[in-house]
Amino acid sequence: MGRFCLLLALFGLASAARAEQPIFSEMPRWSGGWGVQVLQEYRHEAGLYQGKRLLGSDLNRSAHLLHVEGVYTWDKSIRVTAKVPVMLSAQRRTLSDDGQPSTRKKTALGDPTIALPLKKYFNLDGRSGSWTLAPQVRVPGAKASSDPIGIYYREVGLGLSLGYETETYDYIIRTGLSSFTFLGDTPTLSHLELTLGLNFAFGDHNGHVKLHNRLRHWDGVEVTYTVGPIVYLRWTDLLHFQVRSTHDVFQTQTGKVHGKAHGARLGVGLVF
Amino acid sequence: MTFRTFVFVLAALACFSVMSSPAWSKFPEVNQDVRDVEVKAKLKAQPDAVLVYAKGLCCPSCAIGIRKMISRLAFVDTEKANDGVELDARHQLVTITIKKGSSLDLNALADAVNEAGYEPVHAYQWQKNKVVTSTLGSQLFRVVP
Repeated sequence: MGRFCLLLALFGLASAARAEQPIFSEMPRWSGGWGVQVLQEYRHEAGLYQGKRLLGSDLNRSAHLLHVEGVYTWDKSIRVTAKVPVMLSAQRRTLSDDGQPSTRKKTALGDPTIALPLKKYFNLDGRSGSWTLAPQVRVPGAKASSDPIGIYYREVGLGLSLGYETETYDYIIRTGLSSFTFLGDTPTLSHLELTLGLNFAFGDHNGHVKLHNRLRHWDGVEVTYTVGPIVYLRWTDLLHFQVRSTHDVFQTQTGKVHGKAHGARLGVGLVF
Repeated sequence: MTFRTFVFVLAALACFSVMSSPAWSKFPEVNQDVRDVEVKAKLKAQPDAVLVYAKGLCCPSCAIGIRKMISRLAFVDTEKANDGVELDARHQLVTITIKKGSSLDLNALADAVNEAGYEPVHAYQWQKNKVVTSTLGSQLFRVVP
């Protein structure tokens, strides 16, 4: 009962990992549409903190991740998405139990997530948009004891996200709140996101340039503000690209976590 | 609930209130007069085509479904570029090239736009040197001089 109430209370809070759904939060809007996207992510987190105290500026964590994601739209109001992350290579330099620095490396499957985005579209003269409610479940891709890197939580998590987006020919605005609660010891993770962008078109191609803002709240552990540009390009109806970088510009820690992260993500999507 | 959590929830609710505000409906909109001029120009250039005003068609990526749904219709000439379906997101217009000798089914056209996630409003054709408008889903006609 307590956990149920907590889940309800977290409805208005921001959500775990990425609220973005394939394909690049753009499509497929049409019944029977489906797609696959592959993203490569490079990430580096500098330093290890215990609350406000820096334990070591050389205690870093870096990772090269691969995300394979898919979507199928049954009807324009309901679709299913699946995200499977893979740690191609990850390295963490942290303190062992004896207080000495040690380096650990790992290649492993991440924690897959399945979501069921429910969408309500609205169409106005010159503007379109949607409301999205997405319940989701995350399952551990490996045992926590076998993963010294700690990028993934390795626990079953239940999430809910609420999003709103609207777009004209020139502008695009997205905002979202989501939250994940885990069935083990991992604290609740929440995100609040706001994305603002400008659309462009040339020849038969189009895309947009956006600025993504995210406030992340990891209950009792950290609060982080992340910002970064996103460039999306529709080359053809079939082929789509996205490049983005993310930078933690503010972080306050109350638990034991690595410091600010900087990363880049390159993606290719196919839509049918 | 800690103070920090309270501030976070408050910020989230404030953000949501702003984004849901009716003020966003005041975005610049393409009006019917602007669209009529564009319809006439397109039909003069391509008299055998049919144009559809699909309300909400602002993003060519999101509207890929319009091309996919319409190009499946039997009367569409998919031998033409872009499967016979051109999208104009600035004016929310879809230009459909009709196969020679085929008969146009406006109801099927409206259904296809609906399945793609947009609202079909009008269909435009060039007849006797004038634009003839059909309101999709009804029998109303309007002649645009």
